[in-house]
Amino acid sequence: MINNKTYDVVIVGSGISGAVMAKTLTQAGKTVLLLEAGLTAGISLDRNGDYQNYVDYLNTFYTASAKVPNSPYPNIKDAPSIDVLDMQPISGANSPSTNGYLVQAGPLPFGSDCLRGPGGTTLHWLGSTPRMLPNDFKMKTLYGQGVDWPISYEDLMPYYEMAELEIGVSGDVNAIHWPEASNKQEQVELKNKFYGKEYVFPMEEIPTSYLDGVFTKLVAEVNSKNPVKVSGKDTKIKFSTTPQGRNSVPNKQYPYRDITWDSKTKKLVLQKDKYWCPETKKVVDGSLEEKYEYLPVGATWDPNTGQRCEGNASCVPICPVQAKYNALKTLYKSDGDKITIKTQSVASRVLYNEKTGEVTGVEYKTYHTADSITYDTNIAKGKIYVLAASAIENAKILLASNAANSSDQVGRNLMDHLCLLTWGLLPEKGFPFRGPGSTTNMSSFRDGDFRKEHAAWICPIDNWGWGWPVFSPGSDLSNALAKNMFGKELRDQLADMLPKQLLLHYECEQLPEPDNRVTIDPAYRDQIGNYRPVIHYDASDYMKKAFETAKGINNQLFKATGTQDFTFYSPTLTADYVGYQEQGYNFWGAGHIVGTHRMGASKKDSVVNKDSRTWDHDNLYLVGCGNMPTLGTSNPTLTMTALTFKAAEAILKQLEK
Amino acid sequence: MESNKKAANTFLDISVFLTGFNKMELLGTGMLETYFNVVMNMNNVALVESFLAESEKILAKNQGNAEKINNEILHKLMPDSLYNGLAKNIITMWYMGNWMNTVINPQSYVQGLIWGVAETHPPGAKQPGYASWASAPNTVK
Amino acid sequence: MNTPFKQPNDPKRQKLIPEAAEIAITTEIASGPKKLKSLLGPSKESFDKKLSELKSQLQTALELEHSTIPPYLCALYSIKPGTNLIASEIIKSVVLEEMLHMVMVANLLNAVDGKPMIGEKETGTNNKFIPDYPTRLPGNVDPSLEIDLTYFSKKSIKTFWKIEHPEGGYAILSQYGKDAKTYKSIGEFYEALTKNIVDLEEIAKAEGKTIFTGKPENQVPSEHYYGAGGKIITVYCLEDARRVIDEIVGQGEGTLGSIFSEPYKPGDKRYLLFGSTVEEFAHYFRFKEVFYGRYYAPTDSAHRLGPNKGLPTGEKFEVDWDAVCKMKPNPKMKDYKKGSPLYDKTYEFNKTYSTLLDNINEACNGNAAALRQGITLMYELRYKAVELMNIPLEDGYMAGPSFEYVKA
Repeated sequence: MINNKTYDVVIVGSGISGAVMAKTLTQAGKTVLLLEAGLTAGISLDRNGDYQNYVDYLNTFYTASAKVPNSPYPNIKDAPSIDVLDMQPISGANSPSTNGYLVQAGPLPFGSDCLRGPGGTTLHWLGSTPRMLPNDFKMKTLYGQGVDWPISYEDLMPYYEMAELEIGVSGDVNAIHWPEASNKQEQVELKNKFYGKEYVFPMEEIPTSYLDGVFTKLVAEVNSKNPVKVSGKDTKIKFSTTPQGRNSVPNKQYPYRDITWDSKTKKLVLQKDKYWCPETKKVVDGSLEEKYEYLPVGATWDPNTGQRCEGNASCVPICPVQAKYNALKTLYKSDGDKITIKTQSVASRVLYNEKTGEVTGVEYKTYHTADSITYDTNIAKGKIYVLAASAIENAKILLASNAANSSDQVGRNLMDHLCLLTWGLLPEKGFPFRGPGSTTNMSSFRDGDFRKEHAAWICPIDNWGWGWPVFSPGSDLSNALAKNMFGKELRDQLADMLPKQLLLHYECEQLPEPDNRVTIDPAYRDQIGNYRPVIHYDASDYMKKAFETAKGINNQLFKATGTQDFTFYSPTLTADYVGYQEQGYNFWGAGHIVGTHRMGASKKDSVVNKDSRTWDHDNLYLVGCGNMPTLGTSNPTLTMTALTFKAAEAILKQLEK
Repeated sequence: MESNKKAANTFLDISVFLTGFNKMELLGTGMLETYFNVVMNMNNVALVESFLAESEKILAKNQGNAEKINNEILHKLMPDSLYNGLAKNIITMWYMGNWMNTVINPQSYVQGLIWGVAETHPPGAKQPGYASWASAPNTVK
Repeated sequence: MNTPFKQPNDPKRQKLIPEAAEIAITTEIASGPKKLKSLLGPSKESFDKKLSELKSQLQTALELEHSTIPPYLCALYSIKPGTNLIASEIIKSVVLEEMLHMVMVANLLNAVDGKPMIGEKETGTNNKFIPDYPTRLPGNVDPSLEIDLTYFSKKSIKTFWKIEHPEGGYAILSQYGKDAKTYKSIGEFYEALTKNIVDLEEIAKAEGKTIFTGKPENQVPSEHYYGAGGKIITVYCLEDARRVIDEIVGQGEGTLGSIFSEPYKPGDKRYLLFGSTVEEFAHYFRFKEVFYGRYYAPTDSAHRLGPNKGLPTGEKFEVDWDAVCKMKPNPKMKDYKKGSPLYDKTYEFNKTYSTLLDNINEACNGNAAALRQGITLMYELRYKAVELMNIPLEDGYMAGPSFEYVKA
C-alpha cells in the first residue's frame, strides 16, 4: 500500500473523457489522480520521448499485415484491447467464441473495437464530429422506439460548443443539411435555431474530396432527372459536409478562446477574452493583448507539425502528423502541479460503503513491464471518483464491483452503428485513397417518420476505395495475379480500375435492447486476473429492415449513376451476417460503442442522472459513450465530450459546495 | 560477390517485365537489394537459381522484343505450379512491399508501387499536402 | 507536468539580438531626420535612387534566403528514411524557416511597392535566381571550401554552419554584381538594410508621407503558409518591417558576432540561449548540434570562450553518418545524354522545382492562395529527389537533384 493521499478526484482512463475531466478539474485548482491502464511510453513528459514513441507506432503500422484500427498500438496482455481480427462466427461448435479479449456469447459477434492506452480511442478514430439531431433525443416520444434522453438537444448546445473548441472542429455550419427542411429558407432557420445565427466552427471546413465532387455531381443528375424512389415516393438525396476534429485553416470569425471555471456562478464558461494561462496557472484577461485568432493545436511533440491535415489518408488508424485531434493534446493542458498520472495501472474494482453507498476507493493493479504476470495492488482515494475507461470497461468494472446497478442497467443496452457497406466502380475516375477517411455524407435518412419502422442512418462517402470490406488495393492485385496477369497489362488494368473505386457506408442506428449487453463470468479473466468482457449481441428486425431499405436505395442509386455494382455479402466476408426476407446482409461495426451505463430521468431504469452522476453513489460519476441512452446517426465522440464538460461542471459544483 | 551482382541484375531485368515498370522506376524505390535478399532467403537456393537462369534465357533469346518475352514469361514463369509461385511473389513484393502476406519492413511498405498506379501514395506516408485531395492528382495532365 | 512547448511566435520567446546591436539601430533614429536628409542630399532624385537601391537590396535578400535552400535540401533528402530522425528534424526546421524568411522578405518588398522576382520566369536568363553550384565562401574563410549540392556528412554540416557563421556569410552577394558593396556577414547585410529602411521612412515621414505604399492585397498572410517555425508577418508599416528583420536575424543570421568579437564574461546571461523551452535558436547552433550529435544544455554558453567552448554538452542523440545516399556532388542535366532516363528524371525534378518557384512568385505577387499548391509541390519535390538518390551511377555515387531552372 503506497501513498495514502486523498485527491480531490480520481479519474480512471486517459481517453477523451478522462482527459477533458483532468484538464478542466486541474485548471480549476483541484488535485487529480489519473489512472491509465496503458504503457508509460505513451504518456511521455519530454518531446523526444513523445516523438520516438509515436515513430514506433508509425513503424508498427507500416509493417502490420492487416491495417486494422488498433494495428499501430501495443496490445498488452495486462490491459488487452479488442482486435477485430479476433472476430469469429459463433456456431454450435464455437459458442462462446473466446478468441482474443472479448468473450463473444452471440448470437452475433460484436464487431467493433476501441483502444485501451494513453489517449484512448482518439488515437485511432476517424475524427468525424457531427452533432446529434434534436429529434434523436426524443425517440420514444416521436417514434415510439427506444427511450427519451433526460435532456434535450438545446440543453446540450452550450456544451457542444465547448467540445468543438476543445477538439478543434473544422466545418461549415451552412453545409450541414437538415433532413426535415424542405427548402433553403427552412435550412437556414434550423441552422440558426440549432447552431445559432452567428456560430461558426473554429476552423474552416476541410476541403471536400475530388471523389465527393464526382459522386455528388452524378447524384445531382439523378435527383433532377430520375430520382430514387423510397416507398414509392420520389426522393432527392441530400449531402452534408462532415464536421471533423482535424486541423485546417482557422476561421477568422471564430471568437472563443478557452473554457474556464467560474467559481462565483459555479459554471463552465466558453470565453472570448479570458483564458487559463499555463505560466501563471490563473485565468487571465486577454482582451488587451494582440487580437485573438484561433490557433490549430499541432502534434504533442512539436506544435508546428500537424497545423493542417497533410493528406496522409491514414486517419484510421494513425495520423502521422497529429493534425487529427487526439486526447493527449487535452491531457497535456492539465495543470502539472495538480495532476498525478499513474500509468500501467489497471482499475479493477470500485470499493464502497455498503450502508451509505459512498465510494471509498478504486482498487487498481500496477504491472511493471508489458505482459508481466506480476503486479502490485493499491487503492486510489479521492473525494469524487470518475470512471472514464470506455463504455465496455466502465460497465465491466462496475459489474466486478457490484456497484451502481440498482437499475440492473449496467452493461445493458450496448449499441453500435451497424454499417451496411456497398461498393462499386464509378463511371469515371474519382481518385480514392486520398485525404481524410470521409469529407461528405449522405444525410437524407438521418431522421424521419420511417424511424417508427426501421433504423435511421447516415451514409458517409468513403474516400479510401474498397479497403474496408475487401482490403483493396492488395486484394485487387491478388485477384489480377490469380488470372495470371502481369507486366504492363497488370499495371494498366489496376491503373484503370483503382481510381474508380467507390465505397459507401450506411451507418444504421442501433436501438437500446436490454439483451445486448456486457456481462462478466469468473471463467474468463485476463493475465492479471481482471474480468474479460462477455458480450451478448444481436441485430433486431429494426436493423434488418433498415439494411433492406438502404440496399434498395443503393441499388437504384448505383444503377442511376452508372456505378458498376461490386457489392456482395456472404458468411465468409465477415462474421456478422444476417438474413432478412430471403436476402443476406453483412454488417460491420463502426467502432461507436455506447449505452452500457445510460443516463436517464429515473433511477429505476438508468445508471446515471443528467449530470452523469450515478444514482446509487453520490461521489461516483461515469463519463464516456456509456452514458448515451440512444446513439442517433452521428459519431458519438462529440456528444460524449459535451456530456463530459457538463459532468465536470457538476463535479466542480459538488466539490465547492 | 560477382555472381550475386549478376543475379541481382537478372532479378532487376526480369522484374521490369513482371511488374510493367522500367528500370529507373524500380531502382527509384531503393528496394532492389532488399527484395533480392528476400528472394534468396525465403526460397530454396536451387529454385531461385533455376528461376533466374530461365529468366536470363528468356531475356537473352528475345532481345528486347516485349511481346515475345511476355509470351514466354506467361508460360514459363507465371504458372503457380512453377518455382513455388515465385514470379507472382516477386510482383507482390514490388507492388505491395510484402513477401506473401507479411510486410518486409517499413520502407518496403512506403515504396510499394501500387499506390503510384492508383495515382496516390501509401496511406500514412509520402503525404501530398493540405487540400491536395480536393483536386485530381498532379499526374493527371 | 509542464506544457513543454511554446506556441510559435510567442512574444515572450527569447530574442537573439544582443542588446548592443539593438542600441545601435535605435541610436541612428534618434539622430533625427535632418541629419539623415543632409547625408542624402535634398533632392527627390536622391531619395528615389535610395528607395530603388533599397528595393534592389530586398530582392538580393530574397535571393539570399533562397540560396541556402538547395544545399540544405540535398543534405536532408540524402538521409536514408527511418534513420537520423533528429538530424532530419533539425535540418528540416532550418529549411522551413528559410522559406518563411523568403516569403516575409517578399512581403517587405511588396510593402515598399517593390516587385518580388522569384524563379527565373521574370528575371530573365541574365539574372540567375538559383546559384550555380558549387559556389564559394567569402575571403576570410578557408578559400578551398565550397558550397556543394551534396549528401549529408560531417563536411557538409560544417559548411552549413560556416554559412550561418555570424562572421562568415555568403559570397553569393558578390555573384550578383548588383551591390558594389560586399558585406562581412549576412547579419551585417541585414543591419544595413534596416538602416536604409529606417532612414528612408524618416525622410518620408518628415514630409507627411511613407515609403510603405505597396498594395495590401499583395501581402501573403499566414493562413496560406503553415507548419514552419513561426507565423508569417505581413508588412504595412515600419514597425512591421522591423519585426520581419528581427524575426529573420533572430532565427537565422543572428548578429551573434559578439560571441567571436567580444571577450567572454563568466555568467554572462546574454549567451545562455538554450534549453528545451527555447524553441528556436540560430541556425548556426543547430548545425553544431547535428555535427556533434548533442543538444545544447540550458546551462551551455554560446560564447566560444565559455566553459563549454560554445559547444553542446546536453543530451546525446544518434547520428548515423553512413545511413545516407551518397549523391554525386553538384549534378547537372548536361551530365546525362538528352533523352536518357536519368536526364528525364533529373529534368522532371527541375521542372517541379521551377514550378514551385513560379508558384511562390505568383503567391508573392498578388495571389497568396497559390501558396497552397506550393506546399504540395514541396512534398513532390522530396519524393522525386529521393527517387533520384536511389539510382546508382557508374562511379559508385548515386544520382541526385540538380536544382536548375527550366522554363515550362
